[in-house]
Amino acid sequence: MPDIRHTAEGWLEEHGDHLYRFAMLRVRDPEVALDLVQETLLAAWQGRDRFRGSSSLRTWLVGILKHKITDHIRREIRDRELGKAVENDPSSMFFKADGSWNENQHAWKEDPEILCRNHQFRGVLEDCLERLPDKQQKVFMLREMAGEATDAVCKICNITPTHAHVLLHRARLALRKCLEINWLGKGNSS
Amino acid sequence: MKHACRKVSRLASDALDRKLSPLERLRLHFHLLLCVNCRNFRSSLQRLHETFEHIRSVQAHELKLTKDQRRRLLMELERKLGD
Ligand SMILES: [Zn+2]
Repeated sequence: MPDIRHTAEGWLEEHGDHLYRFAMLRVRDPEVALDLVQETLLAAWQGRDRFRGSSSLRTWLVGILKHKITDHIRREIRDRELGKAVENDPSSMFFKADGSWNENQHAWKEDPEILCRNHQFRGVLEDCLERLPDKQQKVFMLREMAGEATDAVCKICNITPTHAHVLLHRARLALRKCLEINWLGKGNSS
Repeated sequence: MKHACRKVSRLASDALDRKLSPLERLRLHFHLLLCVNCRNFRSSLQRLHETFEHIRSVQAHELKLTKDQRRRLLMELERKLGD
Protein backbone atom coordinates (compact mmCIF):
# COMPACT_ATOMS: atom_id res chain seq x y z
CA MET A 1 0.00 0.00 0.00
CA PRO A 2 1.46 3.36 -0.99
CA ASP A 3 2.25 5.84 1.73
CA ILE A 4 -0.59 8.33 2.21
CA ARG A 5 1.52 11.19 3.35
CA HIS A 6 3.83 10.82 0.44
CA THR A 7 1.07 10.45 -2.15
CA ALA A 8 -1.22 13.20 -0.86
CA GLU A 9 1.70 15.55 -0.58
CA GLY A 10 2.77 14.69 -4.07
CA TRP A 11 -0.69 15.30 -5.48
CA LEU A 12 -0.97 18.58 -3.66
CA GLU A 13 2.43 19.64 -4.86
CA GLU A 14 1.71 18.71 -8.47
CA HIS A 15 -1.96 19.53 -8.88
CA GLY A 16 -3.07 21.54 -5.83
CA ASP A 17 -2.88 24.97 -7.43
CA HIS A 18 -4.57 23.77 -10.59
CA LEU A 19 -7.46 22.18 -8.71
CA TYR A 20 -7.84 25.17 -6.40
CA ARG A 21 -7.92 27.60 -9.33
CA PHE A 22 -10.41 25.42 -11.19
CA ALA A 23 -12.71 25.46 -8.14
CA MET A 24 -12.24 29.15 -7.32
CA LEU A 25 -13.22 30.30 -10.79
CA ARG A 26 -16.49 28.43 -10.36
CA VAL A 27 -17.47 28.92 -6.73
CA ARG A 28 -15.74 32.24 -5.79
CA ASP A 29 -15.43 31.36 -2.09
CA PRO A 30 -11.89 30.35 -0.99
CA GLU A 31 -13.17 28.21 1.90
CA VAL A 32 -15.61 26.35 -0.34
CA ALA A 33 -12.93 25.90 -3.00
CA LEU A 34 -10.54 24.50 -0.41
CA ASP A 35 -13.19 22.08 0.87
CA LEU A 36 -13.91 20.90 -2.65
CA VAL A 37 -10.23 20.29 -3.33
CA GLN A 38 -9.97 18.38 -0.08
CA GLU A 39 -13.02 16.23 -0.88
CA THR A 40 -11.58 15.59 -4.33
CA LEU A 41 -8.25 14.39 -2.97
CA LEU A 42 -10.01 12.22 -0.39
CA ALA A 43 -12.24 10.66 -3.03
CA ALA A 44 -9.27 10.20 -5.34
CA TRP A 45 -7.30 8.49 -2.61
CA GLN A 46 -10.19 6.21 -1.74
CA GLY A 47 -10.81 5.39 -5.38
CA ARG A 48 -7.17 5.26 -6.46
CA ASP A 49 -7.58 1.68 -7.66
CA ARG A 50 -9.95 2.95 -10.32
CA PHE A 51 -7.34 5.24 -11.81
CA ARG A 52 -6.08 3.30 -14.79
CA GLY A 53 -3.67 5.78 -16.16
CA SER A 54 -5.52 5.95 -19.45
CA SER A 55 -5.90 9.67 -18.85
CA SER A 56 -3.43 11.83 -17.00
CA LEU A 57 -3.70 11.97 -13.23
CA ARG A 58 -4.61 15.65 -13.47
CA THR A 59 -7.48 14.99 -15.88
CA TRP A 60 -8.76 12.30 -13.54
CA LEU A 61 -8.59 14.61 -10.51
CA VAL A 62 -10.30 17.45 -12.38
CA GLY A 63 -13.04 15.02 -13.42
CA ILE A 64 -13.71 14.21 -9.77
CA LEU A 65 -13.60 17.89 -8.83
CA LYS A 66 -16.10 18.75 -11.60
CA HIS A 67 -18.64 16.39 -10.04
CA LYS A 68 -18.07 17.89 -6.60
CA ILE A 69 -18.53 21.42 -7.97
CA THR A 70 -21.72 20.46 -9.80
CA ASP A 71 -23.15 18.86 -6.64
CA HIS A 72 -22.24 21.93 -4.64
CA ILE A 73 -23.78 24.43 -7.07
CA ARG A 74 -26.99 22.42 -7.51
CA ARG A 75 -27.35 22.03 -3.76
CA GLU A 76 -26.92 25.77 -3.26
CA ILE A 77 -29.42 26.66 -5.96
CA ARG A 78 -31.91 24.20 -4.47
CA ASP A 79 -31.42 25.35 -0.89
CA ARG A 80 -31.74 29.01 -1.67
CA GLU A 81 -34.77 28.61 -3.86
CA LEU A 82 -36.76 27.01 -1.08
CA GLY A 83 -39.14 29.59 0.30
CA LYS A 84 -38.03 32.15 -2.22
CA ALA A 85 -40.04 33.30 -5.20
CA VAL A 86 -38.50 33.50 -8.66
CA GLU A 87 -35.85 36.18 -8.90
CA ASN A 88 -37.78 39.21 -10.02
CA ASP A 89 -37.28 40.74 -13.41
CA PRO A 90 -34.99 43.75 -13.00
CA SER A 91 -35.50 45.06 -16.51
CA SER A 92 -37.72 47.92 -15.31
CA MET A 93 -34.52 49.33 -13.80
CA PHE A 94 -33.08 49.62 -17.27
CA PHE A 95 -36.04 49.99 -19.62
CA LYS A 96 -39.17 52.09 -19.77
CA ALA A 97 -42.53 50.38 -20.10
CA ASP A 98 -42.33 50.82 -23.88
CA GLY A 99 -39.04 48.86 -24.00
CA SER A 100 -36.72 51.80 -24.69
CA TRP A 101 -33.68 52.55 -22.49
CA ASN A 102 -34.23 54.44 -19.25
CA GLU A 103 -31.06 56.39 -19.74
CA ASN A 104 -28.54 56.93 -22.49
CA GLN A 105 -25.94 54.21 -22.92
CA HIS A 106 -22.29 55.17 -23.27
CA ALA A 107 -19.66 53.20 -25.09
CA TRP A 108 -16.71 52.03 -23.03
CA LYS A 109 -13.35 53.19 -24.26
CA GLU A 110 -11.24 50.96 -22.00
CA ASP A 111 -8.87 48.46 -23.49
CA PRO A 112 -9.73 45.02 -22.02
CA GLU A 113 -6.09 43.99 -22.08
CA ILE A 114 -5.10 46.89 -19.85
CA LEU A 115 -8.23 46.70 -17.73
CA CYS A 116 -7.63 43.09 -16.72
CA ARG A 117 -4.33 44.05 -15.09
CA ASN A 118 -5.71 47.07 -13.25
CA HIS A 119 -6.05 46.06 -9.58
CA GLN A 120 -8.42 48.87 -8.76
CA PHE A 121 -10.72 47.83 -11.58
CA ARG A 122 -10.52 44.20 -10.53
CA GLY A 123 -11.55 45.19 -7.01
CA VAL A 124 -14.59 47.08 -8.28
CA LEU A 125 -15.44 44.17 -10.56
CA GLU A 126 -15.32 41.73 -7.63
CA ASP A 127 -17.65 43.97 -5.62
CA CYS A 128 -20.05 44.22 -8.53
CA LEU A 129 -20.03 40.43 -9.03
CA GLU A 130 -20.69 39.98 -5.33
CA ARG A 131 -23.82 42.12 -5.57
CA LEU A 132 -25.44 40.03 -8.30
CA PRO A 133 -28.43 37.95 -7.20
CA ASP A 134 -27.40 34.41 -6.36
CA LYS A 135 -28.43 32.48 -9.41
CA GLN A 136 -27.26 35.16 -11.84
CA GLN A 137 -23.92 35.20 -10.09
CA LYS A 138 -23.49 31.43 -10.32
CA VAL A 139 -24.39 31.26 -13.99
CA PHE A 140 -22.33 34.31 -14.87
CA MET A 141 -19.26 33.04 -12.98
CA LEU A 142 -19.39 29.72 -14.80
CA ARG A 143 -19.83 31.34 -18.17
CA GLU A 144 -17.47 34.34 -18.00
CA MET A 145 -15.03 33.67 -15.18
CA ALA A 146 -14.56 29.95 -15.79
CA GLY A 147 -15.23 30.25 -19.52
CA GLU A 148 -17.58 27.27 -19.66
CA ALA A 149 -19.74 26.88 -22.77
CA THR A 150 -23.43 27.65 -22.29
CA ASP A 151 -24.52 24.01 -22.51
CA ALA A 152 -22.00 23.05 -19.84
CA VAL A 153 -23.34 25.85 -17.63
CA CYS A 154 -26.88 24.50 -18.13
CA LYS A 155 -25.77 21.00 -17.20
CA ILE A 156 -23.99 22.12 -14.04
CA CYS A 157 -26.86 24.32 -12.86
CA ASN A 158 -29.56 22.00 -14.16
CA ILE A 159 -31.39 24.75 -16.04
CA THR A 160 -32.66 25.20 -19.60
CA PRO A 161 -30.67 27.20 -22.17
CA THR A 162 -33.41 29.83 -22.27
CA HIS A 163 -33.21 30.27 -18.53
CA ALA A 164 -29.43 30.58 -18.75
CA HIS A 165 -29.71 33.27 -21.42
CA VAL A 166 -32.21 35.23 -19.34
CA LEU A 167 -29.93 35.08 -16.30
CA LEU A 168 -26.83 36.03 -18.28
CA HIS A 169 -28.64 38.96 -19.86
CA ARG A 170 -29.75 40.24 -16.44
CA ALA A 171 -26.31 39.74 -14.97
CA ARG A 172 -24.69 41.71 -17.78
CA LEU A 173 -27.17 44.57 -17.49
CA ALA A 174 -26.55 44.78 -13.75
CA LEU A 175 -22.80 44.34 -13.96
CA ARG A 176 -22.39 46.93 -16.64
CA LYS A 177 -24.47 49.42 -14.66
CA CYS A 178 -22.53 48.73 -11.47
CA LEU A 179 -19.20 49.18 -13.24
CA GLU A 180 -20.36 52.38 -14.83
CA ILE A 181 -21.33 53.87 -11.48
CA ASN A 182 -18.37 52.62 -9.46
CA TRP A 183 -15.60 52.68 -12.00
CA LEU A 184 -16.29 54.92 -14.97
CA GLY A 185 -18.34 57.29 -12.84
CA LYS A 186 -15.40 57.78 -10.48
CA GLY A 187 -13.33 59.49 -13.14
CA ASN A 188 -11.37 56.38 -14.04
CA SER A 189 -12.44 56.55 -17.63
CA SER A 190 -9.47 56.84 -19.94
CA MET B 1 -37.68 51.42 -33.38
CA LYS B 2 -37.25 52.39 -29.74
CA HIS B 3 -39.63 49.83 -28.33
CA ALA B 4 -37.26 47.08 -29.38
CA CYS B 5 -34.25 48.08 -27.23
CA ARG B 6 -35.07 45.69 -24.41
CA LYS B 7 -35.28 42.76 -26.81
CA VAL B 8 -32.23 43.87 -28.75
CA SER B 9 -30.18 44.08 -25.55
CA ARG B 10 -31.12 40.44 -24.97
CA LEU B 11 -29.99 39.50 -28.46
CA ALA B 12 -26.71 41.36 -27.93
CA SER B 13 -26.16 39.35 -24.76
CA ASP B 14 -27.23 36.04 -26.33
CA ALA B 15 -24.81 36.61 -29.19
CA LEU B 16 -21.98 36.13 -26.70
CA ASP B 17 -23.32 32.73 -25.63
CA ARG B 18 -24.96 31.15 -28.66
CA LYS B 19 -25.18 31.43 -32.42
CA LEU B 20 -28.02 33.73 -33.40
CA SER B 21 -30.39 32.66 -36.16
CA PRO B 22 -30.12 34.57 -39.46
CA LEU B 23 -33.35 36.38 -38.65
CA GLU B 24 -32.12 37.35 -35.19
CA ARG B 25 -28.87 38.62 -36.65
CA LEU B 26 -30.79 40.70 -39.15
CA ARG B 27 -33.01 42.17 -36.45
CA LEU B 28 -30.03 42.95 -34.26
CA HIS B 29 -27.97 44.62 -36.95
CA PHE B 30 -30.86 46.53 -38.43
CA HIS B 31 -31.69 47.95 -35.02
CA LEU B 32 -28.05 48.77 -34.30
CA LEU B 33 -27.87 50.83 -37.45
CA LEU B 34 -30.57 53.11 -36.10
CA CYS B 35 -30.01 53.07 -32.34
CA VAL B 36 -26.89 54.57 -30.76
CA ASN B 37 -27.84 53.41 -27.26
CA CYS B 38 -27.97 49.78 -28.29
CA ARG B 39 -24.77 50.17 -30.30
CA ASN B 40 -23.02 51.50 -27.22
CA PHE B 41 -24.54 48.82 -25.04
CA ARG B 42 -23.38 46.08 -27.33
CA SER B 43 -19.85 47.38 -27.64
CA SER B 44 -19.63 47.65 -23.83
CA LEU B 45 -20.81 44.06 -23.43
CA GLN B 46 -18.22 42.91 -25.90
CA ARG B 47 -15.48 44.75 -24.03
CA LEU B 48 -16.65 43.25 -20.77
CA HIS B 49 -16.65 39.80 -22.36
CA GLU B 50 -13.12 40.34 -23.70
CA THR B 51 -12.00 41.62 -20.32
CA PHE B 52 -13.08 38.34 -18.75
CA GLU B 53 -11.15 36.42 -21.38
CA HIS B 54 -8.02 38.33 -20.40
CA ILE B 55 -8.74 37.89 -16.70
CA ARG B 56 -8.94 34.14 -17.22
CA SER B 57 -5.48 34.10 -18.71
CA VAL B 58 -3.86 36.28 -16.03
CA GLN B 59 -5.56 34.32 -13.28
CA ALA B 60 -3.61 31.26 -14.24
CA HIS B 61 -0.69 33.01 -12.50
CA GLU B 62 -2.60 34.79 -9.76
CA LEU B 63 -4.76 32.14 -8.15
CA LYS B 64 -2.69 29.81 -6.04
CA LEU B 65 -2.99 27.98 -2.76
CA THR B 66 -1.32 29.85 0.07
CA LYS B 67 1.20 28.05 2.26
CA ASP B 68 -1.32 28.05 5.07
CA GLN B 69 -4.10 26.58 2.91
CA ARG B 70 -1.72 23.92 1.69
CA ARG B 71 -0.72 23.01 5.23
CA ARG B 72 -4.36 22.83 6.34
CA LEU B 73 -5.27 20.62 3.41
CA LEU B 74 -2.46 18.23 4.17
CA MET B 75 -3.36 18.05 7.85
CA GLU B 76 -6.99 17.33 7.06
CA LEU B 77 -6.06 14.63 4.57
CA GLU B 78 -3.80 12.97 7.07
CA ARG B 79 -6.43 13.17 9.78
CA LYS B 80 -9.11 11.63 7.59
CA LEU B 81 -6.99 8.97 5.98
CA GLY B 82 -4.28 8.62 8.55
CA ASP B 83 -4.31 5.30 10.27
ZN1 LIG C 1 -32.05 50.32 -29.20
